[in-house]
Amino acid sequence: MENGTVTAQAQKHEPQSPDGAERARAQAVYAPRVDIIDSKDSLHLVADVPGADENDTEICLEKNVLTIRASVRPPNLEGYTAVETEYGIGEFERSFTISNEIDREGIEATVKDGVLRVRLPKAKHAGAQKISVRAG
Amino acid sequence: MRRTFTPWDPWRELNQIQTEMNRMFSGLARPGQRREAFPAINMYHNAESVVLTAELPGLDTEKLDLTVTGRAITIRGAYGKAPLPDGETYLRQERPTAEFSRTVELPVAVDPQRAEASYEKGVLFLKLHRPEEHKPRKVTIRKG
Repeated sequence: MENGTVTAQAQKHEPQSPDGAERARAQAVYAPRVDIIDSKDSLHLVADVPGADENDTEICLEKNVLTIRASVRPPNLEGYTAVETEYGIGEFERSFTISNEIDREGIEATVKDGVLRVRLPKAKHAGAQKISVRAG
Repeated sequence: MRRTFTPWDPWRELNQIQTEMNRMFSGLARPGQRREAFPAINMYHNAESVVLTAELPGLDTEKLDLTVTGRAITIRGAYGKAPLPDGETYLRQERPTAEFSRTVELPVAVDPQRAEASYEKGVLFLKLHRPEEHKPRKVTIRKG
């Protein structure tokens, strides 16, 4: 008897590519489930990447796009026959557009028990810049 | 238009029903079906043991409960939904937050006394040994 009362979807999905292109990769790629938390001085990104540790994970920041990637090696089960495979094992990847208010130098990330936590501090002067106008 | 009719096999239909029934009660998903149960489980076996893996990232193993009987395992646990401190809000919330309990039937008998479980990098790995008397044995044919 099963009575799951979990709110999240159990299925793994392929990530949406920013430009709509599909991936040509040997290994399956999945988009990790994420929580994004907004606090006064920083943005927190928490992503489920089971099977990956800090050595398997990388974070890239290019222009305004933050990409998280984690690779997972399938368990060594040589000699075993699969009875049922409800989830696939592959790479995790997901991209996010981040605003200019993030202080890129201060981004920190940790991985524990297959959970990647990224802290994106907001820049101190995140407000609009005032430019004084002088008489010319 | 050419059609080939396969001879009607009454046993095939009954077999299909049996397989469907087995699937329904085993707790495992049919291929292609959107599975509601959590967590997703991969199951493997060989002559010696049955191995189950489940992705449970960030789980507090203190809250994880594993029960093994001769033919089924139950995985029970809880993801806390810690309320956010003041001033923090979710812009997106996808990760699991609730309690879960899932029972899965095993395709072969296992010895509940000899079960090993480990949790690494957020993956639960469960190894169940098959009892000696239930392991497949080779039968030698004597020439009479």
